[in-house]
Amino acid sequence: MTPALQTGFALVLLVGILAVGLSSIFLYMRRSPDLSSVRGSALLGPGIRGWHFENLRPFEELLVRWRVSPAAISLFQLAIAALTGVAYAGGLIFAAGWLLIFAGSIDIVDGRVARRTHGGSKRGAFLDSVIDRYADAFAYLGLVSFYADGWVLWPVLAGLVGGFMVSYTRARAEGLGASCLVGMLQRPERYVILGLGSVFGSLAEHITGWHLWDQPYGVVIFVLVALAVLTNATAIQRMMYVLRHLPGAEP
Amino acid sequence: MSEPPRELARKGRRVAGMFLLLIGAGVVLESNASWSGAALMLLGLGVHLSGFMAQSSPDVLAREAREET
Repeated sequence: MTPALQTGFALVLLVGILAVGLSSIFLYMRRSPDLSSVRGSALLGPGIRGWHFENLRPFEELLVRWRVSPAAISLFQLAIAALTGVAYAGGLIFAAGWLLIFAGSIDIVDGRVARRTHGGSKRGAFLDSVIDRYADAFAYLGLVSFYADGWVLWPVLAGLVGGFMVSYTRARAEGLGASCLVGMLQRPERYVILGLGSVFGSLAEHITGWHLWDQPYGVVIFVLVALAVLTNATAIQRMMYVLRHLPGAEP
Repeated sequence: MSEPPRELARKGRRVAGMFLLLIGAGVVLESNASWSGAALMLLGLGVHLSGFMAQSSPDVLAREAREET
């Protein structure tokens, strides 16, 4: 494909994605759906989450009807995350962004199917958490491979550590009997930011060719730096929250 | 929340088709395997349209709901 054709194709994709995505959300919201049971966050409000759940519902129903076990769905998520890593490593940033969002969506479906079929068992929750960490690592390892030769490697590694620490602080707090549901950047937010950042970053690269300090995919780098800062800030936010709420003397 | 299973299946085809189309577009955009990407895009478009164009009229939906109960 010639560069001019590539730019034109990227422009068509950008307009198409924005038009289809925004009109779908608009049509969903116009139906005034019942969002009372949907928990939102600062970044992903109940409307967006409800719209996403609505799109995932056909697959959820199918998996429940086929009696697919939540563990099998988790393993499928792991395979998609590995594919995401391969796509990132191979420079297929646009496809990797969608695959990452797909992996995050499978995680949502997995939890919903588990609650409907097995009542959300502790064994299932444990397995799901462990697989989620490997899935996070796979996606980030692809980015490590892609940016291995430049300074962007450091924000990628900081984001990987930050993502793990966000999960660890909550797991450790819950192990000590404290609740830890605070945090501006939890897993769904991370997946949406990195996934959509990759999709639009790839399109921006092909439309404008903007590089950040000689590194390709400037928008993706911007997102990676933001994630590195915000995930670690979330981990610290959780740490402070748990320290305030756990009994005992000041450390 | 009360859509009949067939309407849900159509919705699923529309979402899955769109996903395949986007992955194919990514392969076309960023790899040398443009033909395999284009094939994936066509497959996605077909799956998407099969769910979109088969969207039923209220009469058909009512008949399907009767059949399924």
